[in-house]
Amino acid sequence: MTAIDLARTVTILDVGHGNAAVVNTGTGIIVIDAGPRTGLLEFLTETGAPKIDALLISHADADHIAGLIGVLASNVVKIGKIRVNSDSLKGSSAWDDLAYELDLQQRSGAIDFEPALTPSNSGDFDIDDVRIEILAPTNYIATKGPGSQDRQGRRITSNSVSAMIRVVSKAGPAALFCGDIDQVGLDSALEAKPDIMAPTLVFPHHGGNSGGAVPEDFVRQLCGSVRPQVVVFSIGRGRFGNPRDEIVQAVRNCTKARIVCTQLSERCAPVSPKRLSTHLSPVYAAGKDGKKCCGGSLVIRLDAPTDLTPALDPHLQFIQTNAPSALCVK
Amino acid sequence: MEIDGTNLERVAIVDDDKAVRDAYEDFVSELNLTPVSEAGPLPSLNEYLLEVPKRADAAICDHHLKVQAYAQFNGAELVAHWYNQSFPALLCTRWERVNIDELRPYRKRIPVLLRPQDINPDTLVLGIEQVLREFDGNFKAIRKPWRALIRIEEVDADVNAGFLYFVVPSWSLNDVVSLKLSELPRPVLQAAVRGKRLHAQVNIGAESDVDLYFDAWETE
Repeated sequence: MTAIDLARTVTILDVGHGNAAVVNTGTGIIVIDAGPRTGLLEFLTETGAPKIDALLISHADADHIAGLIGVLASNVVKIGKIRVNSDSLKGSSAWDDLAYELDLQQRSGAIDFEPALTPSNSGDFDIDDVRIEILAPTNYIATKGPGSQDRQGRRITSNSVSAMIRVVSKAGPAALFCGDIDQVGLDSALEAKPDIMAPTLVFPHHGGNSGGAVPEDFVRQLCGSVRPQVVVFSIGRGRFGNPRDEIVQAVRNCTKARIVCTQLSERCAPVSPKRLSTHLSPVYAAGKDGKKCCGGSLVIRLDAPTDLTPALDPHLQFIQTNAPSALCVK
Repeated sequence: MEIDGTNLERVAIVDDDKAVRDAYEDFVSELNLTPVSEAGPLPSLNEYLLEVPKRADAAICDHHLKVQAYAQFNGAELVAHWYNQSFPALLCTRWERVNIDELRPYRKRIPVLLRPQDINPDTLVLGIEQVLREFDGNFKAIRKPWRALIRIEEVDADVNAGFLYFVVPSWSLNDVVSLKLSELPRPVLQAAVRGKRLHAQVNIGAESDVDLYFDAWETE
């Protein structure tokens, strides 16, 4: 069992390169993306979660869905609702693997699965005072689907249909999760000028390229709308070179937000720390075994949404010791 | 030395090459432990399994032991049997394809696999600690078994020498893993056709193909 009370928190899990977050409302559990491999499983078993009330998948990429295939097959935790947008571009066996497991469980009556996650579903997953707002993909983008074009003739990709999800409690917005949303998906989502402000922004696509957009424009548009105090890059050390330098620079140019990577980028520190740092939150983090964590898994208090663990000062001290020329501080 | 509540004084070194045994002796001595160098030829597997725990508290063991009639068994078999006896042992081998296929049937009971260049006093202690923890049911994330989906990609025709090729989607969507058909339970062999999906216990937290093991297959 973990040494921290996770009632009324949002945990942004360090799953390496990928995304997974767990919202604990105090009486229920909502999972946003399942990451790759066993990170979500490890966290759920460590915390003794008996049931996931709703599991929402932003889009069909492996680093967001593979963990769901694992959770479904493992039978270690019951799941209520599962929602994911269908994606005809993902004709791969892997996408079929997920469909296979979902179908098995649906037929046995174990889950409530629907291939739909758009703003029309906002409110469907609320528990107590915690609202789960689905801000993208818009019905327009979801209807057109990956492989088609938007009104400007731009290609709609699997990333364009990423679900953008905001978690809000009575204390206000806590965090915004963007999947791998690109310029096409973001433009469509912002057309109606929705309120997407949140103190913590989990940056799309792990700080990688955002579908041909000019990085500075994309970051300015996103951060200008979200106005985050913390920007999170959910990355795997040694995987894909994320976050990209120009993305981090653009974030720093347009906001004073604290930047937190879940793992320590090799470009910030070519050599791993020798010891596991004490600044990390005492919950599962994939990088703990290999001493790869920078921020590790992050815990936000729903009743004090600007209260993030690990706290700023010890995290900064870790960075100054282990990565003095890190992208976020240099 | 006490590791994870177990007192450790003597470490057996099982390798057909005296020069290698001597090098490992130095590492063991650096830890203020007593090396027990196992000069061959070794007796039968059944005898040897019981002999070594009488003169050592742990072992480090090479995989290729059949060289120059040093032993009639290989290191993977030995370490896996010791695992059943809760005698801590580390296996050492180069990660060559042929070795991985040979090791796979025993991999569940080989908690620590080291390459020769990775062996040093630190890795010895950490390795033995990991094995002892596993005996207590405390698995590292890379070793913990989970029920997992398996999608069959290809099945060789020759049951005696052929392989089953498959994907474990929750481990990797891109990597194809192989297992000797001769090592599979009969119901799995009968069910194995291209495109079929099965379940098995798999350590899907494994970082590398080398570390994967498979157990408790389900065909329905």
